[in-house]
Amino acid sequence: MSSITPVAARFAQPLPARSAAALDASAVAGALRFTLASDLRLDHAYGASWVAVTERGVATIEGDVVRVAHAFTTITAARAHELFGGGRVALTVAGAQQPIACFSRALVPEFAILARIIDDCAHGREPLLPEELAGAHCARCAAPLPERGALCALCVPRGRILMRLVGLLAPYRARAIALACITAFTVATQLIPPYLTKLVHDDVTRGGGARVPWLILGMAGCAASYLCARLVAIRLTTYLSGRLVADLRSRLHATMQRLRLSWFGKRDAGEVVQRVMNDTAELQQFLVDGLPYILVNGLSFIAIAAILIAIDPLLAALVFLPVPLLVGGGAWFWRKLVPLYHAIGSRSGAVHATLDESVHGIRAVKAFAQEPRRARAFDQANDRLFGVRLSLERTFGGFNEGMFFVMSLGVAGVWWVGSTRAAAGGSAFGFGDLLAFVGYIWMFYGPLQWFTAVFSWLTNAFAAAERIFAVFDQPIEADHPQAVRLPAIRGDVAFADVRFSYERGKEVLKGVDVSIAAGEFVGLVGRSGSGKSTIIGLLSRFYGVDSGAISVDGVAIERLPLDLLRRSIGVVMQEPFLFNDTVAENIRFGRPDASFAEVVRAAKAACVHDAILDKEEGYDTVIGDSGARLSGGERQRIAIARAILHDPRILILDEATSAVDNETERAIQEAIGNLVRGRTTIAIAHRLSTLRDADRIVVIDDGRVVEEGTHAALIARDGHFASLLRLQEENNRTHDQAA
Amino acid sequence: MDQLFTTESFLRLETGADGLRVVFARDDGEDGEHAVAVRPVWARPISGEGREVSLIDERRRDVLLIDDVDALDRPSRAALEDALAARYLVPTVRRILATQAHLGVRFWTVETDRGVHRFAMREPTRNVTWLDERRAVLRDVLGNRYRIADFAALDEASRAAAAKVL
Repeated sequence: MSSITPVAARFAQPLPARSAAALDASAVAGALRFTLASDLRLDHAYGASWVAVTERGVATIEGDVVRVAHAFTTITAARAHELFGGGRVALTVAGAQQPIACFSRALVPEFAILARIIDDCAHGREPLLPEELAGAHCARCAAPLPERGALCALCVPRGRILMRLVGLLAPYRARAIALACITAFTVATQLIPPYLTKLVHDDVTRGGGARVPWLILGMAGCAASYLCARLVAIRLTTYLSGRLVADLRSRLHATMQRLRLSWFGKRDAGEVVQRVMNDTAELQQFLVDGLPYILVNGLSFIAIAAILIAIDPLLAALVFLPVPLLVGGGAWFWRKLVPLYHAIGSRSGAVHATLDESVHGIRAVKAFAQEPRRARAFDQANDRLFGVRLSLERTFGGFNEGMFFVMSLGVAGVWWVGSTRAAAGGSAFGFGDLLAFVGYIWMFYGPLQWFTAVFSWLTNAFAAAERIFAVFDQPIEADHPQAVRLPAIRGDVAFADVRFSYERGKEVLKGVDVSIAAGEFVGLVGRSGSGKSTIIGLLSRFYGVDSGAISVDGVAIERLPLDLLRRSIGVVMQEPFLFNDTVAENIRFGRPDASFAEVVRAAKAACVHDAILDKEEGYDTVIGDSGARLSGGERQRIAIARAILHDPRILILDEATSAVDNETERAIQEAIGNLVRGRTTIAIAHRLSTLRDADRIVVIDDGRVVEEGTHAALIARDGHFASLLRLQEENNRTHDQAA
Repeated sequence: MDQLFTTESFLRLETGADGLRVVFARDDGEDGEHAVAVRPVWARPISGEGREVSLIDERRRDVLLIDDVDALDRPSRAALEDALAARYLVPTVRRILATQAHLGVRFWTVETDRGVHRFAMREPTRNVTWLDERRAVLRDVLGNRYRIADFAALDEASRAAAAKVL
């Protein structure tokens, strides 16, 4: 069921017999080393095309036809190329590109690995396979997965989801069992009165009325019991479902805090928040309304059917006649309703989005004088919502009445047949039985029409539960089992042949070697997209390297306790994230126990103390939408104060000064100067002039270190750095001239 | 539309060992020509496929924007169309055989110009884009795209299957 199979097995699937025969007759026949099936043929049609790597070369086989075969001796390179909607692996043979496989996006990582395998084989290197790879198709039923490595929506057993949901109730076992008993009791209190009706009728018509007051008292007692039981049941249900959902939310939140950053990289924040809130809310609604509905009605349905059959099997058969009509009608109606509900959802979403854009983008709308167009757009979305609302109501209207008509027919049938038989006399079936029958029949029919609706509700709730459980099942960040517990970190950092890709097949770092001594100030320079930010992300262990090693104080960072590692690293980002809290609390974020005096000292060192006191509420100023607005430079310096108080051994400055004006930059530079002293510092800087004080500058290009040295040495060398610097100075000059 | 296509030094397109090449006349006054290896991309791959083609060089710069493929000479056009066909893997849906939802995932089985294919989609409201009344683009969970060239021209069963979602 899981789609994560050992990678070696993915690349060692047996070839179909006729393809294997064709390969044996080809120019590259030999012992098979790797195989991989594509989902597209070379002509882009869907179908399998096998790539086989033998000890002698590479062949592509479609059915029993060898389309391409190249010996390793002729191959100079193998590369995977991205196409629109998939990719292609091409070999370089005698200077020309020879495509050997086309594939959709489902197989991009697999073929990226295959290209490297072929490249390694062609150059006589032993190919290295990564340890794990999440496939895009279910390993069992081959259905496409909701996302790479997820559980298959078709194979995942529904029973298991239910068991997990029930398992969540374990801490509240007593209440859950009480609820189940009360539910059964509620059903019983509903079922007794019609039978009492029969007894009352029989007693009255046979003249023996002594029991009647007691029977009537019994009816009232049932009603009272029903009321009490329902009150208790409602309280219990509300408590249990509320508790369950609160537990789920806090567990989701806690799990997410510990998930690997790569999980967040694939999703937008809105989607994650929606998952936490909406899926749990959907589950709660189902647990409060849907599940009791199913339990109560399911139970009474079975009980009533049994009672009806016990009273009179023939008449019971008559009652069952309209059942398919009711269930079928409900299903038909529901099928019409669902698309309308979806349409309402998406169209009211469109109205919301338009409104939201109009409000948030009011400046842009006014500046471009587009008010009438916005108004038209809103009216259009609004009218579309009205239209679908209307058709929903029209579909609804008449349904209940139609169903009532069908039920009335069933009831009339029962009256007719029942009264004829009761009047004829002689049989055991009396008028009292008929009365009981009619009492039960309405109870029996009522819930049937919603059978399909509740069933689809159940499916949706399971989908929500499954999405929630999928998060729980994600791998979380964990310490190495044999973590090296250093007392403190000095701050030596070394990268050795580090390779990394966010997405398999697109290598971002292609073998980075850098070593930084404790206390050294190193500047990282390079074009955007060259891999600088990735390097510092890897140092914080936000992601794991593909190959190579990063070490701190000579210990591989995977072996360091995460807590120690991240406590020792401080980061000041280009656009620092500040929490919706006071200035003082934000500065304290990394060290909640710091005294106010320490906060002030940090703020002073960050050259932001005066600016904070200038605010009406000083250190109590709340940062955020509702609070006072801070300038970019102030936010930046508050982030620096936060890093100063955090007092890390290793400091990372990620474009910390690029978003501010020259004046503010000077203040920030001074703040950074205070911060850098005595720490290992890695600074990514866009403005190269800010790195003049760096002990060393490392130039990154296309995922590799291309130059290294002091500012002066690199200028003297007249290489990458010198040309970057020239370009920037030129820009500044034209800028100054324009000004 | 303004003419984006600049013809001054452009000579032709051809297929070389490394793929598509655009050949220009030398602009330094000398006689002769020089070729640049390029890859063709649709400027508007979703809304305007078949319209403007940009030719991108190895440094990812646009060296030539062609806004009318028909204006090219026949061999150039053939070379361009081959290169485009090799780059764009977007099938056109001819029939929708089935759509089913399981646990919030919508499974589509479609017959395309490239054969029958099954794919999974989440949140149809976000992954079905209507370009106009008739044309739509479907996007599966992996980001593969599928084109519907004319919804009205699909058969009854296809439209009924799609009506559950669209």
